[in-house]
Amino acid sequence: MPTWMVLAKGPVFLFVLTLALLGLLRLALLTTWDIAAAIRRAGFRQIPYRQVALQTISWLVPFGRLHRNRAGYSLASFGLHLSLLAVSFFLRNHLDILRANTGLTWMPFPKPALDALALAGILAATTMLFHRLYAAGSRRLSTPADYLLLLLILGLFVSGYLAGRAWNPIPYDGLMLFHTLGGMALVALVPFTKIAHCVLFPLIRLGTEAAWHLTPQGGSRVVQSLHGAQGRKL
Amino acid sequence: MSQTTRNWIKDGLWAVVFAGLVASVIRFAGGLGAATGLNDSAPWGLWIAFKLVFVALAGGGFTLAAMVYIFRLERYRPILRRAILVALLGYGAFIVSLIFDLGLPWHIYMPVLNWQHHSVMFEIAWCVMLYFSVLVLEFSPAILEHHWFRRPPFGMLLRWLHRLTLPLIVAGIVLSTLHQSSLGSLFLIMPHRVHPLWYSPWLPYLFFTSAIAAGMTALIVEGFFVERWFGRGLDLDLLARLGKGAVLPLGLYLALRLGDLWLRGVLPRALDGSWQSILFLAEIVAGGFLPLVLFSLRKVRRSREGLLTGAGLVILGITSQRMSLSLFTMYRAEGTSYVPSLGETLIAFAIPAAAALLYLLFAETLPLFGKQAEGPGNEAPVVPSPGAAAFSIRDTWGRGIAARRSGFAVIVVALLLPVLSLKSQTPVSPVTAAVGWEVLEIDGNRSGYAVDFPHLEHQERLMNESTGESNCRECHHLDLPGDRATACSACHAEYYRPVSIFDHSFHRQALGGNDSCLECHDPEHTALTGTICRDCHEDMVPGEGQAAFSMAALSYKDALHGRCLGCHEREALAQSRPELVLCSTCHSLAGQSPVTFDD
Repeated sequence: MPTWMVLAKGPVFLFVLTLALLGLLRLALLTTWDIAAAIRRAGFRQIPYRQVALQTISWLVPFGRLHRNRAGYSLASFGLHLSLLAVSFFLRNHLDILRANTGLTWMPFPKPALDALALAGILAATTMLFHRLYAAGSRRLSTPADYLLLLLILGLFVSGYLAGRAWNPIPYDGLMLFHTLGGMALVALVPFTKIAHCVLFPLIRLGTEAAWHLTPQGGSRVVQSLHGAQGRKL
Repeated sequence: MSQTTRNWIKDGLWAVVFAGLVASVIRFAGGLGAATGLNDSAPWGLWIAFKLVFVALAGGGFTLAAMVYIFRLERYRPILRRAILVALLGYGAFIVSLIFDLGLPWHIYMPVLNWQHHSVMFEIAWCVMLYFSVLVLEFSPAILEHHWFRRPPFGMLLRWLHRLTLPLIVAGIVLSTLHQSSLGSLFLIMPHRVHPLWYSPWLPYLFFTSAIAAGMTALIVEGFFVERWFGRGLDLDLLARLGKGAVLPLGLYLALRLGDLWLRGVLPRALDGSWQSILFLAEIVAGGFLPLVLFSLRKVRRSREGLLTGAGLVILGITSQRMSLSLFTMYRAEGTSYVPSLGETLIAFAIPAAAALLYLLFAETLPLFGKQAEGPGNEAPVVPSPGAAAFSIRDTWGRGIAARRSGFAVIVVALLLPVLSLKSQTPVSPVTAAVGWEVLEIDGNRSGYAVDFPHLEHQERLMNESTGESNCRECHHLDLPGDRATACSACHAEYYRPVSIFDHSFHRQALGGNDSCLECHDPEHTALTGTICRDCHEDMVPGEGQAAFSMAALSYKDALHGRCLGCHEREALAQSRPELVLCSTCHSLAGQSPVTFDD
């Protein structure tokens, strides 16, 4: 069995999978804790949960929003998310690996559709990378981790796509070793990087909503705490 | 001790507990074989040894209860509640450990329904159940005095428990006396397994006296711990008196043990130079006589160093006695060994780690120190101990601790789950090919118990009468390319596990690298779209009704049993000869002739 297959079916994969799942669970629980504490401190009982849920869904399917600001970047971002999710979770080869490790599997997507999505993903990741590099605003906000993550995702898309092509000029086992190691690194990085938003996204929206509601009369109390009961003119 | 140090110690304990939880999943999902190094020749291992130590260290509970309530030694009352807590946790650890050790843990309630009056285990089970219940009742007032329970029903319950104190204490002393000694009785039924230097027909008395000594000295060590952890002053006088009190049971234990060995003429073996004799001497001298002398000298006993050293040595000595008896020196069958597995070791340490965390939780939350713990009838307001606030999970400190410990938990679980899962898989075991031709000597796993398979005889029996050709394919159901009557071991190459007979890398290289994918995989490049072998290898035609290539060849053991038993079952029915399907038909002992179809 080639090395990459040993890695993919061996304990290293189980390690990164457990790390990612439990790490995400931990983050979700801690974030929920923080939100609960924020809501309790705010003393605000009328959190608009329905509105938060609707807003979350609207951001998950942002067709109505893509054109509003930086349309190209927004479209690339949406395309990258879509292709990443589809290819990661619905490619038969990936599901075979998952089944070998955990016994779990589900219906795969057709290969031609995933090939097209992989190409879309390569295009989207490249677009986002260039946008980060050449748009001044994005460049200021970007950290090295942002570039490295995008490069890793791009590398995974390219290596995965090439591995299924007969005209692939790179030795298959070497390419698959890179793809396997890169994929496992990405899974392991999920709870430690911004990719954690895959689970935290709805919670963060709820937290943001809660944080914007201060306790009734909270401002006056702050003034009293800072300047005594008499207060003073500000 | 600084808060940071305390946090680090707690983090370490939590890490061990998390590791034990992962190992527990493997233990209960895969059974004892998957999680432990135990086997038929070593059915008792690390868990039993730890259990015996837990129970010994818990001996302070009934000892202090007897000293305070029966002998009226009131000076020991301030530490009585802590002694009961240590006993409760020790027995709790024993019970939890027992659940892991039972092959069918869900049958743990069976001694309640099925009374086996002659079984030592039955007596131990009942005594532990009852004594643990008594300990819970004895300790309950400490919980009910917490301000959370200052409500009418709990107050009434508390008053009732106070009234029941004396009967409970008496029950506790009787029960623990019974079962501490009956744990020693367990070893009386297997003298052939226990080393002579540790075996004694007086083991019940040895266990009882050593439990008193270990329990008292454990309370001395606990006193020093409380001083360091909680910053409480050390009541050196009280602990020194406890040390003096331990001289009697310790001296009695040593006298009984050495006296029995001397009377039975075994004592000279202590000087035979074997490692067991060295261990025995170290145990008796360093863990017995030395602390006996230290505790007997008033000046040494009243010094912090002398008291702690003496107590530590007693605990080490009695731990050594119990672990040597049940683990280190126990005889095992020739050629067999026992090494505790990683999972087994983690569980063994996770249980006391969890007990230690529970101790800290109780000690930081409940009124265990000072005057409010002195006894029934004292309804003084509860003063929370310094660490009480630490368990309020609403503040930032609690959130920080939760974040850190859950982070530890994630990393420990993620690291251990794959490592421990490996243990549960059958090890890689390459097959050794059969030797010979007329008679094949089949010993795939090199166990030395070969099956002598009459190959030529089977060939003749399977001869097709009309064509005069033997039906080799009846057994050789698939040949490798360019081969005829391929040996079983060529495809069924693993003794216990199915393995693939297809070399993907070789084929891809031979067919021209990546360009060749579509030659076998059409239209997708997945394992399920691979071309079957005979499309290219025309000679890889399976026999009639036989499987072609289906990704993996069965394990050698399954393949051979399946192949042989199919015919043997058919012939057994056809000839009304059930002996043809007996194991001994093929696996005959040396000197016996195997049963054949023609017999």
